[in-house]
Amino acid sequence: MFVEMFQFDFIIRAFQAGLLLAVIAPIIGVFLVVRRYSLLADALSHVSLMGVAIGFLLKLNPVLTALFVSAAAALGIERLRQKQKMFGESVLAVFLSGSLAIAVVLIGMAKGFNVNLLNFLFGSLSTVRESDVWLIGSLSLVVVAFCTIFYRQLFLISLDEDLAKVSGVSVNMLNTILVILAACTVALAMQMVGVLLVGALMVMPVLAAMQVAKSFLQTFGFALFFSILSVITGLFLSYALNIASGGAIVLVSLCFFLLSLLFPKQG
Amino acid sequence: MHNNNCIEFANINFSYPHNQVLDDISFTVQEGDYVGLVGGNGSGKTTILRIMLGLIPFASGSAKLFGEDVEDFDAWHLIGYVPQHVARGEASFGTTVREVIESGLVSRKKYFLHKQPADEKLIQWAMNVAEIADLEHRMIGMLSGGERQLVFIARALVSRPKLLVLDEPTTGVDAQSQERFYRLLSALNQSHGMTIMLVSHDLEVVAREVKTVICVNRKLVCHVNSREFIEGDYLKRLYGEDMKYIHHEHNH
Ligand SMILES: Nc1ncnc2c1ncn2[C@@H]1O[C@H](COP(=O)(O)OP(=O)(O)OP(=O)(O)O)[C@@H](O)[C@H]1O
Ligand SMILES: [Mg+2]
Repeated sequence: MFVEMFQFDFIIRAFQAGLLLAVIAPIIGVFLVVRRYSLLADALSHVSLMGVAIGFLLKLNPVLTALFVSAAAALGIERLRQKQKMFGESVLAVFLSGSLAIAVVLIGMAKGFNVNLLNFLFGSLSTVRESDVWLIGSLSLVVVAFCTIFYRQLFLISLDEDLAKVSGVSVNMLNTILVILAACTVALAMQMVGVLLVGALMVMPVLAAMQVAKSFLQTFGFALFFSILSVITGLFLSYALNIASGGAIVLVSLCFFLLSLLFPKQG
Repeated sequence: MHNNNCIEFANINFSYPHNQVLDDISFTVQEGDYVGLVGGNGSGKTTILRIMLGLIPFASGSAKLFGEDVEDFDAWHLIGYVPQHVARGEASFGTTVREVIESGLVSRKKYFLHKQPADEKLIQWAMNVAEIADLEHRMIGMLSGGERQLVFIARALVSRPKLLVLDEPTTGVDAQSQERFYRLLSALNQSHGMTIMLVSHDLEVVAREVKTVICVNRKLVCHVNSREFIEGDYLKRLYGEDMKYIHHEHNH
């Protein structure tokens, strides 16, 4: 059966997109988690849902509107955080509930829920199109390049922003790029794992990795390992049992997290 | 033009809304000096350091590092900085002592994970000077507060700075480690010619260790060498009448 499922183009596309996302989600996720900023992913996923609703309403490609709206919101969130007008967390709460409210209203105006929208809420294998794979592929290249080149700078910003500034790092610029990349990742991952579970995709493998890793660099290694394994296993389960792909993927990564808790933490 | 002025503050004013923090502060620090910056809580010490390092913009005046306006300064490897409370935050941040120290090399414009043999030498040197080589592979969150403080000092040293800026670095460090720590600072100042700016509330230690004392209380109260500081009545002006400097002989 596992061989036969690859006869379907949509399954191949789901695996391509899923594996790419499995690489970039935890890379971005590590930098969010260590700054206690993982709520950003959830806030951005709700903003993305608003983008999808706008797309449906204006009869545009919902993936593209989600991408655009999410990136714009990320810029706004980062601006507010940098100006220190509000606590980071309160900013996220405002964006999360505000965009959800707008999404609900827009969806109502678009004459109720339709099947497509449910796919965005809960994630679906069958909606990933070839153009989406290309988008996710390009994003992956940018994310991997950005995080490898600026690894040391991003590490230092996570450790202490003042120290980073006094080391000559362009803290505000790198932070802005990071949140925009996070926004793009969230918007593109939403189709496959669903609005409600995008955050988990980015955060859960990282939390598991932090339990077992013995250095910051190792955290990336383990997070990638857990994430890729979760996506592969989750997609198989989703196909075999005919269950929602997002739920399946996140449940597998939850299992990894629970297993990682058995690991004695040492230093 | 290169004079020997390491830090130059000229007529610096700084306010938060409804709260003037610094009022017309001017002073210069020569290369090779060891300066104690003292003053009560909220007197503006941390603010002075943050302005000096370009972390906050100031309303008026000019601040220079090594003869260059801080806004334009970019030779950050010349500066080693240990912020107040820096060692507190990262208990849950899964990183090793070595990774923290390596992050000090960022000011030498390092990208990727790439490391040169010279960098490795600097890392070993910094760990040895701070006497924490045995902690190298420990997780930072599992260290004691004092050990963590030493790690951040090693981090500040790794780029071989000419100016070391320390904001209350011995908070939470036991007496024995403090002794060791001040020995280290003296050695850095004397044998490496490192300029040091140290904020501390321990006036006794400051007067004993440093060469020059700068007292602030929103305004500059005094800028004198440490002998004059001990003999003068600056403490009264800083802390009120009942505060007196008590000199202990240290002969353990
Ligand atoms: N972010 C801020 N917003 C408003 N006021 C501030 C802020 N940070 C500091 N202040 C005020 O600026 C003044 C000087 O603060 P600063 O941190 O420079 O004092 P300090 O001398 O370092 O004190 P301490 O010995 O307690 O560390 C204080 O009155 C403080 O209340
Ligand atoms: Mg202070």
